[in-house]
Amino acid sequence: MNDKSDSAVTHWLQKRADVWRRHEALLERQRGRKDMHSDEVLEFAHGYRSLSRDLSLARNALPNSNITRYLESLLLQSYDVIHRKPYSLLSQAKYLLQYEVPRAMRDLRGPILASTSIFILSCIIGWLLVFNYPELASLFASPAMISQVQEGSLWTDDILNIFPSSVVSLQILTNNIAVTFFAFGLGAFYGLGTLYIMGLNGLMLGGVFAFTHHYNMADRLFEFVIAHGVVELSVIVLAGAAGIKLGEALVRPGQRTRREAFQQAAALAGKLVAVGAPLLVGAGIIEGYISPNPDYDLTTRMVVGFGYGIFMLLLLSGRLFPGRKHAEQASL
Amino acid sequence: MAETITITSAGGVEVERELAGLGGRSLGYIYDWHIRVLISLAWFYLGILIITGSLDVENAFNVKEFSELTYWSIAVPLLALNILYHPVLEIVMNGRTPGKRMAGIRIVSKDGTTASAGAILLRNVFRLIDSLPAAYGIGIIVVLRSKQHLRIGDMAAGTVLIYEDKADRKRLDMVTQSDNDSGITATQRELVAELLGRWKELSRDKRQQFAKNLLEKCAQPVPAATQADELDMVLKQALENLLK
Repeated sequence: MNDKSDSAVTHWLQKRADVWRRHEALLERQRGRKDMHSDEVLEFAHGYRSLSRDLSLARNALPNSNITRYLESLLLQSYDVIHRKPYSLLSQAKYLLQYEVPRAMRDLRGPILASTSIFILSCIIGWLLVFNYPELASLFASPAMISQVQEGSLWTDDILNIFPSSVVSLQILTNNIAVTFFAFGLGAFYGLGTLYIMGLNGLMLGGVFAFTHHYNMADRLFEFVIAHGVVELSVIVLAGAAGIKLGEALVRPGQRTRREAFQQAAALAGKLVAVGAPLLVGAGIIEGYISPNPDYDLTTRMVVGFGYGIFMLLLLSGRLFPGRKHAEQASL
Repeated sequence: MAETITITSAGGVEVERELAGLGGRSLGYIYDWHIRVLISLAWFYLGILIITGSLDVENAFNVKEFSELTYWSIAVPLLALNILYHPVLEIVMNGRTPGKRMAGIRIVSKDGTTASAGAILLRNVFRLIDSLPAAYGIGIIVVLRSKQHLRIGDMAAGTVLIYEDKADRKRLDMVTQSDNDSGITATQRELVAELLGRWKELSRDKRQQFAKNLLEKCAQPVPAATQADELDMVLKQALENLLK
């Protein structure tokens, strides 16, 4: 670089530096999410464009310099602010429940059917296994549970004598959310992990019912399960459907690369898990406060169980929130 | 050659950012792990001290009756801290955590913008899978085998980890702000700033040689000193004066 062009660059830098400092100050204001005047917003957008030009010039005049690195960084941060989606967790949650979850439910009809079938089938197999070979109950129930049933009481009878309802609820909902996440996430292994979780849970449910039936206590187990089980099992089946969708995307990605197919499937199916996990909080509370409490009769339990189930269906179908049709038409 | 992502801004100007590999990721995680463990331990012992009046841990948990107070005030907050640390902080800090910030890395979406809350939650759901069977075994294997150094959670959420290069005002000020009229050009200021930035990394002989050459080139007096240490100091001072 000769002296003349060198001094031209120096002059240019001195002239532009204040513009960049001003732009940086506006960027800070954006970050603090402070209200900006419309003039400032326009100034910021204009500054962003001129920053691109300045970076091109700086790269030519001062390649790999501090100034170039500074401008690159400033440009990227401005790019981020300009392209960032409107930030409101509340409106995002509303949009999720109004449009995205109902759409995901429709798109995942096949996997939901598959997941439900696998779960029911493994329940039946579990039942048949233990019904015909009662000694196999030890596969699905701990020795303590087995001896308790043999003595004529269910292991659920004295839960509240050991822990208070609040503790039972928290432990159960944490465990169920973990199962849900595993049923979904293990779909990343070509769906095999999901099949394992769904199959195992189905076998256990069927097996344990057959075992209690053997001692004439299946009706009492049903009474315990019904209040929380409707939603709890539904959510696990939905998470299984989400995992099956992941596996399907990997097994037959179609025109897309496996990673693209996997990502699209995860984004779609993840929405069911995003709604399912909070529903398990409600199911956990019911399981801690209502299910083990002998004061509630079967009718109350069924009303709670199916009532919460209907709430879940309304939530998943988007019927709890108005304005659905209008937005769907707009999006077409 | 390190893997990069290219972000195209207004006017088609492209900026590249280096992707963080296993090293950067692990460093960030180790920092975060220590922060979580230190807070957890502090909370645990402080809770025991307040509830029982002593630091006798065995006694606090060896009571015959289950203590709901101990459970809700100690165990539950610790569980919440360890479960929510990553998802909540990554959302609130725009793809960073304290550990990631210290390691100089950040989660962004594939187009270089801040990752959405949904994407961050999704990558954290898959944290359970990446951490299998122990110590992030699956995650580490997948990161090593994937071209963009992604774990399963990142693949699902469409996110990448990049090395951050924050716009440092000092860099601009070093080159453009000038109170004295030393008469040196922008290119020369750049060189001076560069040399001062790398001062500690260079051997003493080399940096003194560079400093002398640079001062001569800038037509500045080259200070002299009999002691090597002293010469080092006065040369650095002379360079710093040029940027003041």
